[in-house]
Amino acid sequence: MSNKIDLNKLSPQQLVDFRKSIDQEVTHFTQSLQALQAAQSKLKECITSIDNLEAGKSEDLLIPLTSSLYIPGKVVKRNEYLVDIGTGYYVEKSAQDGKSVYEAKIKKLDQDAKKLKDILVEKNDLLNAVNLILRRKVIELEKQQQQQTATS
Amino acid sequence: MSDIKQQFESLSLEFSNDQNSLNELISARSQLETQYQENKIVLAEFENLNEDSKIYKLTGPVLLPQDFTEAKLNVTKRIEFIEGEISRVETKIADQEKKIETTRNKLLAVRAQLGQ
Repeated sequence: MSNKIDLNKLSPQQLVDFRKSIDQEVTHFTQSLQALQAAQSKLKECITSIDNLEAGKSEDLLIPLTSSLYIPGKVVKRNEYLVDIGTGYYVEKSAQDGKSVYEAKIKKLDQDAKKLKDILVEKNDLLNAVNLILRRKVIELEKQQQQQTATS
Repeated sequence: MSDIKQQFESLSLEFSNDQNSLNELISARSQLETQYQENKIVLAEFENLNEDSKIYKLTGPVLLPQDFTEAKLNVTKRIEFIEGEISRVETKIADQEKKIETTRNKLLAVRAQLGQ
């Protein structure tokens, strides 16, 4: 961070506001992380589907029309898949190539997730520090008030 | 006195309006970034393909076959367009930030007058 501020110099009100904004950031990053993990598990499902289809000897399969309605079908061509590469483009690929597309995507998501986790750890540390200082300030304030009531 | 108060109110209204439009611009910017990244991934994928690859474009509910060079050109064009949009939104954001700064200064000046 370029502009380091001494947290001890902030007023309790500022600290509370600061904590609120960190909280918001943490929620935002946690949501992003969850979205990344959801995307990853979807990609993993694609790979398992390819593996299953390639490993299976039989050509019969059930095609879902809805989530609870299926019709029997047959695999016409093996080793030929249409892979979604994004923004509405689909490319015909072999099982191996299709899998490598998904694997590359998963790897990239892994890297992003790692970066996000690092940020989250950093933010949590900051949050703890703010909480600590805030608590100290509150205790100080209470002491001051007690002294005032004692003297008056 | 009421004159200054009125001025203060209209300025603070202007200030929050400015901030709202800045927020809108920023969310537009992040949306563009998402599209930009997605298109870049697609283009990177096209780099790994060749003329013989069968490419389909999802148009509505149907997949239409598309020529490799055409599809690649489309994505490149789209990336150029998005880049243009990004720089356009970024200049707008900079302008808006300047505007907010001037409004804020005016607001502070009026508030100082009010305080007297």
